[in-house]
Amino acid sequence: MDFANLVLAGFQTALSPTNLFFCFVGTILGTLIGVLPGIGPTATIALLLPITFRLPPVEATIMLAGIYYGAMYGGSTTSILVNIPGEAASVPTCIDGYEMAKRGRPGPALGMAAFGSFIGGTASVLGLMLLATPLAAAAVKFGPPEYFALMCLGITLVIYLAQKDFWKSIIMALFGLALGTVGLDLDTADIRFGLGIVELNDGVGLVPMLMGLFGISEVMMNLEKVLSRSFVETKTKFRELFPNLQDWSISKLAIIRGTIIGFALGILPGGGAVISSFVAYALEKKFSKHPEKFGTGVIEAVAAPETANNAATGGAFIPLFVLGIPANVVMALLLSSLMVHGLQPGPMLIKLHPELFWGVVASMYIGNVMCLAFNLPMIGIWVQLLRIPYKVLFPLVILFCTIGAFSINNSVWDIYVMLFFGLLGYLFRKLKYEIPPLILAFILGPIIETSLRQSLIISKGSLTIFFTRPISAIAMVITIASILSATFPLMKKLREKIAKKADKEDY
Amino acid sequence: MGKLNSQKIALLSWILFSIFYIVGSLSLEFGTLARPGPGLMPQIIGIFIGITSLVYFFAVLKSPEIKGRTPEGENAKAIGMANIRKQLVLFAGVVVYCIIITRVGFLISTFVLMLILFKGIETQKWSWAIVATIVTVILSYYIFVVLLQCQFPTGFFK
Repeated sequence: MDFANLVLAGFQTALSPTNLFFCFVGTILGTLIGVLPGIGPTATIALLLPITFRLPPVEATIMLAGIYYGAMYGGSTTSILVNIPGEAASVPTCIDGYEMAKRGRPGPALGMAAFGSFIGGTASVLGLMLLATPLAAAAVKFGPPEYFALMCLGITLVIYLAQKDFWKSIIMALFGLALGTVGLDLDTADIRFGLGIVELNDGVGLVPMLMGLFGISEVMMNLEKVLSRSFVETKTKFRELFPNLQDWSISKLAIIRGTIIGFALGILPGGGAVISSFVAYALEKKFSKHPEKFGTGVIEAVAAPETANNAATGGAFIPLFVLGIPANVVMALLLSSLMVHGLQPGPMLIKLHPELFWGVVASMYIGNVMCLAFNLPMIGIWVQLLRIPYKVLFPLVILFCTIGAFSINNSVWDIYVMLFFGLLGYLFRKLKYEIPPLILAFILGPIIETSLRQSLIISKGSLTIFFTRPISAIAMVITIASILSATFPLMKKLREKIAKKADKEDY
Repeated sequence: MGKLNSQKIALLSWILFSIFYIVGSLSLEFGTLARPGPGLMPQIIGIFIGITSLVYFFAVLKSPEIKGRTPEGENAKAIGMANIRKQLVLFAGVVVYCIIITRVGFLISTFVLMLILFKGIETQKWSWAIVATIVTVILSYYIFVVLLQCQFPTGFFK
């Protein structure tokens, strides 16, 4: 089937009434949780996973994808009007967006955020459409050594790009790998770390774990804060939401750069919307003729991160669909959703299930249009929703988590697992241990182990197999270089610290 | 060793975990490199967790402990008693739900859970909490049982 026919078939799938409905539900829900601080797209998707198990795979993926990119649209509203980011990728937007609102220009800030998101989102879907098929064709030739090396690279990049402590991220990734070994070994049927509990023979449940780590722990953290909000009241008319010609002229390069940065970083494991928006903001400031004005309310500082965080959403689908490697936690959730439906993401997915891939791609175009169409006119409604007190929201989150966990296997065991990981997630957040490396390592760990064992069987025990095949060699070299480049500065700092302490003690 | 703060306790916990994990993996067959067994990956992971935790633990020990001015100092008091009551009520509510759902069914157990969450954690009037609970129970029944056809224990309402 040629490219044009595939695209048309995708739109035919996406424009069916059922799929349009789920696209609408996903984008509205995504925008809603993007607007509401205290719950992000990751937690929402984790909550809704058990529900999507009952939907057909195309509808489920369309809805979940809609939540992901819809949240990027919604997050800018609270950032600009309340100076509270609705989700993490909207943090840079707070800096200048809120300043613009205080100076009486909330409309153009909101408008530019929406249009930038639309341009970035649509361009990234185009990139996904053009790159996925040829990359998938190349990936069909990958064998176990390539998968092992690429997945090690993926986890390493997640650790390398960790925003907080490098060592803690390593520990979290290793812990994720350890959790992934629990259960039945597929090769020998040995039960590993079952602790005598029958339910652990199937391993640790991903969905209750995610609900605990993101849903329960998020609520526990938020219960400790007083979420007071002061609003910039806006009675902006609809036509005042459109940036003027000068705004467009100032922002056009920011939008182009944001699109490229967002898409490229979205593909990288560990990259994603959050890092894209921060990098886009920092780069825009570097390129600006007036960097000293950043932070005072300049429109390009809103355009760049908002374009980038939406551009990242399309890019993130490429490693998922092409290689079956999730680039971030949201993609990991989508991966688990696809696997529950009996679909294995990877190079064969596009070939065997073209209706899924092209349907989702087409729905992302439509979803971006929907988000733009109802984001701006509904600003007033989103602002009213911000007034919902958290003490009303969090019981609903807990209820959804609890019922969702129970409904997986009709077992209270899954609720206990969720609670356990809720407590762990809370402790991790308090002690500044990042959760994404744990999730990615947990999901990729079984595949890494299988690929490692298969590779060693093929090579009769020789580790050189990972360095004699070009793609795995490149991936392994980058992996080792990343670890060394991150470790050596740390080792140098460690030695200096020890030397300083020794000097002090001498005196 | 200096004062034991939450970061150090966490790292000691990781070291203990790695010991437990390695011991647990010893009962699994390591195999050979040419035919790896189920114990290969766990033992590698366990050793790496142990080494990483030990290295970081000694790094934390050696760093200057200036309270509040170093990341370790700031994180030293990360785990406090703030709002522990709210966390305990939240956990208690969900545990009660787990205990009673198979006995009394979905409707009553959800009612109990929501009442605990609405009334037990933040200050609310009883009337508001009860109304909100009833509305939530009805909505959740409609969404999960009627729309999504989830099967839940019916308890007394068989």
